[in-house]
Amino acid sequence: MKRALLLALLLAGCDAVDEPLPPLGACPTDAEFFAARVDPWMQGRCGSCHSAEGAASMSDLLLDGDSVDARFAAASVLAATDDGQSSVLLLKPTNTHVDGHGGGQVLTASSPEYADLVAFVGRVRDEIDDCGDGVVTGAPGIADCADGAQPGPRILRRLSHVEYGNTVRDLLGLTAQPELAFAADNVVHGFGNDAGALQISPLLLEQYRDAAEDLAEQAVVQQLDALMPCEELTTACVAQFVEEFGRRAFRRPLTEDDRARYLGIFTAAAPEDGFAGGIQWVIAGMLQSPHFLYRSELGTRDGDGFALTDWELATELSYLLHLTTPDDTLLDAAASGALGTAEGLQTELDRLLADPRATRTMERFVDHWVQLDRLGIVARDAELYPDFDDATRAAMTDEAHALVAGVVGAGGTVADLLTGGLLTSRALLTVHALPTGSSPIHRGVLVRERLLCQELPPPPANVDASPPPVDPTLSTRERYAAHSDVPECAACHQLIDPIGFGFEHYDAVGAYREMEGPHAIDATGEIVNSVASDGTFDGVDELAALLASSGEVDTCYSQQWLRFGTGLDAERGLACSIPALSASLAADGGRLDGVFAALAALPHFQRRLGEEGELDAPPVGGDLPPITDDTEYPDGGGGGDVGTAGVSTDVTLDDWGTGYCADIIVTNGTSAAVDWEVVLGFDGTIDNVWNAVITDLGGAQYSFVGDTWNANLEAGASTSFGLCGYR
Amino acid sequence: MPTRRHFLAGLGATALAAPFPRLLTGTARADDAVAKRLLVFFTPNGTVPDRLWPTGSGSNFSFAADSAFEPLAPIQDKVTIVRGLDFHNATNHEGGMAAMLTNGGGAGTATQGMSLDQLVAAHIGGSTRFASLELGVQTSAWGGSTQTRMSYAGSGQFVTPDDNPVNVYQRLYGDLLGGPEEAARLRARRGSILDVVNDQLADLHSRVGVEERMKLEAHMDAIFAMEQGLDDVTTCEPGVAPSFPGGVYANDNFPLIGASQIDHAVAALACGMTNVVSIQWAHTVSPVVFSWLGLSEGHHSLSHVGDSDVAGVNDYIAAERWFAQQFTDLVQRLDALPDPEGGTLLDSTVVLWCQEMGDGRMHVCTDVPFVIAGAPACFTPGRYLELGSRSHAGLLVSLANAFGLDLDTFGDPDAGSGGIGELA
Repeated sequence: MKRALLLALLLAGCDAVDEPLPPLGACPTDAEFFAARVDPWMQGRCGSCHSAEGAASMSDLLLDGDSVDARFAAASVLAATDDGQSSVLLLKPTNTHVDGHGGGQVLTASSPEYADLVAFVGRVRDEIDDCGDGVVTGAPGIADCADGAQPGPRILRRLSHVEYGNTVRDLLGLTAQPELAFAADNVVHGFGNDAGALQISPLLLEQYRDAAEDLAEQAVVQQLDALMPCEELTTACVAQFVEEFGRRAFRRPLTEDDRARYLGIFTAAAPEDGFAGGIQWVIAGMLQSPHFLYRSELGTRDGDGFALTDWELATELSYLLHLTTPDDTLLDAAASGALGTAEGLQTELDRLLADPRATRTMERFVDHWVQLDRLGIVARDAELYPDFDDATRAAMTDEAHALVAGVVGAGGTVADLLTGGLLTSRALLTVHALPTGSSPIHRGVLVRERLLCQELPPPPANVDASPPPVDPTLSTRERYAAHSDVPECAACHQLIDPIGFGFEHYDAVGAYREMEGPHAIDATGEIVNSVASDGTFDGVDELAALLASSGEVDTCYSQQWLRFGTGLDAERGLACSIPALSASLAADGGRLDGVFAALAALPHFQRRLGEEGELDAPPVGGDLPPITDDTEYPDGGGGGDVGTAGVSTDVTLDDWGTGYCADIIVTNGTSAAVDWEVVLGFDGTIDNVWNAVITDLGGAQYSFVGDTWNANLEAGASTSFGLCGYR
Repeated sequence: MPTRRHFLAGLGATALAAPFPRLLTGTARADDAVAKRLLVFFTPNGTVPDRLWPTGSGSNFSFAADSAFEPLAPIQDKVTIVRGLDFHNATNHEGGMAAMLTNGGGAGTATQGMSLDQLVAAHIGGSTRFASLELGVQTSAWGGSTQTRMSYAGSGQFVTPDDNPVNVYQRLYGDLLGGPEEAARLRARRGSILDVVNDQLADLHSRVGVEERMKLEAHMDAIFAMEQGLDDVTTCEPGVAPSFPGGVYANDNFPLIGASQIDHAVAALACGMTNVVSIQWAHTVSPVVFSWLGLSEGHHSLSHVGDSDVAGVNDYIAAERWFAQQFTDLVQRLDALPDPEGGTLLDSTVVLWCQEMGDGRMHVCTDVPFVIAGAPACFTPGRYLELGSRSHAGLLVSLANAFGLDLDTFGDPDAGSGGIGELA
């Protein structure tokens, strides 16, 4: 602990501080230090609860609003109080105290405020010499980040559900969406891809198995020709398939052991299930391998850390920018060693950035950031909002995505996103509302927690939080008056309601209104107790401008992207990466999509830290002795029906999660008229088909033949049919 | 031959000192009345105490008119209403949800952070196709977190409920639909794949650090459970596969999903597919709108209306009574099915209705209601027990004891030791 304190104080000096803090003398007393460096923000951050009227009035920290000396005394007592390993004054605001903290996490370990607290605690405990010893006090710094951003831990990152879906579609050339039915993952800080939280439960394991078997069956039926690198029905050809498909599935060349294992699966199945059936079980096996399900970020030992392999870099880059498996070009760049050079990495980064999928990834990030991903499941009162249905939800999602895509495409910044309509997008306003009306609470919490990255404590126990009945003569704003009239409520609600009132021109489906019944809307509001965004405003546009001007949302954007991009955060060793990321983004003009290059430039992207005794990442295969065994296997197996030879399909899928519709154009590519049949895979339940007759083949496979008027197609002719289904 | 793996879920380097839950055999209780099945039934967001509790006491009680428990009247002689249980060191929505079936606790405690259902499943679940089934009704729209999870395989290790009855149907009956030869072929193919996966996991395990090992061990444990299921050849009569236009997360499908999950629960217990089932209705803070009762506000919103909002409180009680009706129907169904070893299914099943808070409006976990039905040889039914102010850890101890688990504390030992003798 002492070493950490000393590190924290190796700072630039008492001068050259460009912050609006009161000046310190050369040798400040503890009280002067407190008044200059701690009190200014502690009052704001802690005072609303830790006061005589606040929710924490019974706690050990009571801040007297009128006397800085009294506040100094109170803080000193707590600074000197130990609990286990550290001062209570440090444990509580970071929510690392064993008994928790009613206010949740108020400070992060990487914040300048925390550095000030550390310094204050050190002074109170006489662990720091105020003057002399060359130890300079007084200037704020980032605790423990004197060495800059450090790499985080070696990890195995299980594919998130989105990544799994994208990966299997790209690997197998299918349109299925098995990931939509997977058991929900644990959500940490609003994101479902936290590396520590993504585990494989018994339920998910079963779902992975069922998905792997279904996907393998569909792949062999629909894409066998495209997937096989050779045509012979021999062991030698299977070995070639195992190597080539395996390289793409495991994102690195297979070892000889793994090639033998999958050949073994083939030879056990093929005699009974046929050649295609054997391939099917090989694919199913690979999709259940930990080398497929987990992205390796382990590296090989290099000096005092681990250096990620080129294959691991390719995987990292691809999932960061496109949320999917590396394509062949990226894998080849890893194979050639190009990715191991700065230029090679930059080339691939630029290529992936230029692809529209990078914009799709940014849209998905925004979905999680401001919780638009809940739009599919929020309920609206059918009488008040009769037009709100799945089509409306889809249109709202499209609107939000188009906004993000537009800002990214124009090289826009976080400020551009805020002032360009994020806060008035209908999806955002709908998710953050109640079934029967607008919600200042939801919208205030959204801004406070998701845009300013300030976590709010839950309502305290033993306080009757019941609101009075809805008085129809009052406006929404007036109904929430008790939150500010009752002191115990006001302490926290002043952080929420005044922001949320700014949204009152927008109802529960995001529609603009001048009146709420007989009431004229009052959308004036205020932000208090933020780091740099305090101020008043009237309406959402002014709120957006206020947020855009302070840079605080930019910092929060960095913090959220660090979580989303690495699957880790400050608590897992990346605290110092946040300021590094912020600085990198700002230096690049603050472009939203600058975050990809900024993340790839962090030390964490190429190196990791590990313990003594940890071993290198699994070895990479490649250049295996060829297998020339030309034992032949019977054709067939693999699901059976394949449809009419020479007939092709062009599928357009519209999928909104809980349901989908597909338009299929069927073309007779042969030189004679045919009665066509096509076989396609769809998950969920198909409940409407038109212009075709459907037969369920099992295993999520369906056969389609034409209706009486379009069953026969001339050479070169096309027809179309369609279907809809739900999950 | 499947490889057996015994890894301690969620424990750190001190794990080896603690007894491994799966190996707990316990000594039989002196009165050797041992329950065979456990069914946990959860409803969220707490109660309005003034509209809940019966009048009278002991075996001489009656349900108050218009109270949330009144729909239990037809099964009054089958249930024990338990009042006066407090959670130790837990308040509010998330705290209550986490403590409800665990009473907290981590490595070094007798139960190591496991929830009651998982503990019982570890003890008796080895002989059935599924050690346990966790069935959910719209539990996971917000993902997995302390708000949405009540079952723990270890400290901080959520067990994910299956929210989709279509998926549950596939899991229960899918392998049987093709006939015994096809089932045998599937077992062979799947077994060979699992052998490869186990080899690959073992290799990875040897390369990574402590935290990543725990992740891989959870994966290996899941494979072990799956391998056990592969060996089981229980045959059951599949019913009709369910379907839900609009999807399993459409608000108005809530009662249909629940009914389907209850069907699965009863069928799975009756057929011996599993002996431990939990049914989780939504989750704490759930916003589900009981539109089928004509309500228009979310359940959590309604749980917070004040007494002056008479209509609002009545709406909340209407929702609570609907839950009570589902519980009553479920108990009656179990009581109408025979147990192959004599008596009814209810006679050998402990049915536990639990909630995560007492007074929902005050966000407190004191005076939290519990209802026990079934297993009359273990718990004398037909009574309203008012216990004053006791730790609910005692209830968990008594329930665990009923399954032959010889525990004296459950979760955090600071909550006290011993069971609740009055339940017997």
